[in-house]
Amino acid sequence: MTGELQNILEINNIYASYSTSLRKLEFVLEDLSLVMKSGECLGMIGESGSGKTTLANLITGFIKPISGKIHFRGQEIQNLSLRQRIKQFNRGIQMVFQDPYDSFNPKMTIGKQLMEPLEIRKFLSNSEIEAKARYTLEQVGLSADYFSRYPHQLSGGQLQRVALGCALIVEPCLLIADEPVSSLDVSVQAQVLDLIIDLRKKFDFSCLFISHDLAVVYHLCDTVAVLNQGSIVEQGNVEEVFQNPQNVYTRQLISDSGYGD
Amino acid sequence: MMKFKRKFKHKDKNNQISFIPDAQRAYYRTSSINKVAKLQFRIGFMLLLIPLILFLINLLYRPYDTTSMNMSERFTAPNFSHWFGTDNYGRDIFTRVMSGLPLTIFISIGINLIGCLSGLLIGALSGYYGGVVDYWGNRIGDALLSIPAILMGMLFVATFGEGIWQVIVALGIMFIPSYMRVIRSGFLEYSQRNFVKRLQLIGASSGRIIWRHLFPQIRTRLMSAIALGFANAILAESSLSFLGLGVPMSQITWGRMLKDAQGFLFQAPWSAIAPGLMIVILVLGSFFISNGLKQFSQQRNMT
Repeated sequence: MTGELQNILEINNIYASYSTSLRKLEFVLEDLSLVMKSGECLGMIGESGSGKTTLANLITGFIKPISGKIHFRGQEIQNLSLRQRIKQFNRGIQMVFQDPYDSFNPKMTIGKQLMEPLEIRKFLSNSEIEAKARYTLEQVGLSADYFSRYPHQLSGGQLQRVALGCALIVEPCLLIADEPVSSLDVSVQAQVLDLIIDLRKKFDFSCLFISHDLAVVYHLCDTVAVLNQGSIVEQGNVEEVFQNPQNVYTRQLISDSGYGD
Repeated sequence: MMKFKRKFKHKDKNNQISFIPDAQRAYYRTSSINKVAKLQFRIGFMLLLIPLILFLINLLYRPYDTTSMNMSERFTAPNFSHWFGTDNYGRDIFTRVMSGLPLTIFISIGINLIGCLSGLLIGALSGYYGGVVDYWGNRIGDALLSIPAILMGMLFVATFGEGIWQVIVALGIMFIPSYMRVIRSGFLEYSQRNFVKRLQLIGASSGRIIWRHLFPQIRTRLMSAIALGFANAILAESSLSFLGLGVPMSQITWGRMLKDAQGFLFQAPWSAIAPGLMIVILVLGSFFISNGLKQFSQQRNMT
């Protein structure tokens, strides 16, 4: 299988900044390189302000890097606009956001919002679209009653399930989850994480899981990358990194969160 | 009082009836906003009912001709045969007020249509795209705000002559900035939300995001702005007509009637009071409805 050997995402020496003037550049991401293999679930950990969300925005294309290259499935994508990416890749990148209430149009039913990605793509007929949306809703563990409900009638956990469904309905190759469980309470967190594990088997996608919660990353991911002040200080298998951290910062992060033992 | 209390009583574990004090307070808090908004709606509709009835009477029956003069009945004070009195040519003011209504409304709607549609276009684009588009959108708004309405009216009358369309276009342009600001602020607020990002990722076009997802969020705000704009348009048209820059002599609008009455204001005050009162009723009515709508939208944002 060539697919398994291929790197789905390669980031080489990327620099990113939010400064508007070129004279006073303050880099949020500095000389960051990252390789992600096809089919793996990579956990990205780091403290607040270390540039995790900026990295997610770079990969999805909401912001452009100052220099460096991003390869997605072997193609350079850092200069492509969002629409060009959709034309180029049949199965592209999708994202799940932190706040589930913010990720839905409050005045549109869940069903309509689930069907919208397929309506835009125009590959399927209306009845097929509705059938697929209902199927996806079922896959994320919600009954068909939720199809005609509005976002405010759902709980945070339920909405995050729908958000996963909305992202996965277009069958992306790579799903970026930007702290998808940090605004949920602990029992719901576990449910959503189990759902992500379950969905990875069904929908076959790679996952870049951004979090500052080490327990969550340990539970879910195959490999982990540690981000500190805009660059990656350590990357490797979850077990190895958590049990035998090489970098000083990683060691501190792990001991602070009680994972050192 | 008892009616409200009954709503919040419930049976507790020991099967005793008790009240939920916080629920009651919460109910009063939201219901007091509701009550004020409803009251404003009611007052607004009642006020607007008066012009509506006049309009219906005008369609079915006109007691006098609007243009025929009767010099023997000049400056007659209000009486049973002339409810609002007569003017300097002996024309019945009640008939003229009634027949002036459709044109006044038509001009007001035209002004708001131009202002609202152009404001929607500029405001939506500046709020959604931000950056350079927003900068130039705002500069257009600022430039229009710096021109007084009367000057714009004079410009149009001097260039194209007197006429209804000149008034509508001149004032319509003057109404763009107020609409633009309301719409821009709404779009700016919602375009930062994550659902817009999500839509961009699934490949939704900007037009689709603006029309299907962002516009419904600001609909209530826009409705309240339209009701207020309607009142302002009537006032602006009357002030232009009052200065002689408005509609031509042959057409009857309330502003035009006010202008004609200014020459004999002390001889026959009723000739100014009748159209003036109608303007006040129409403006207040749409103002109350606008305020009610605004409170409803604020309450919805709160929950």
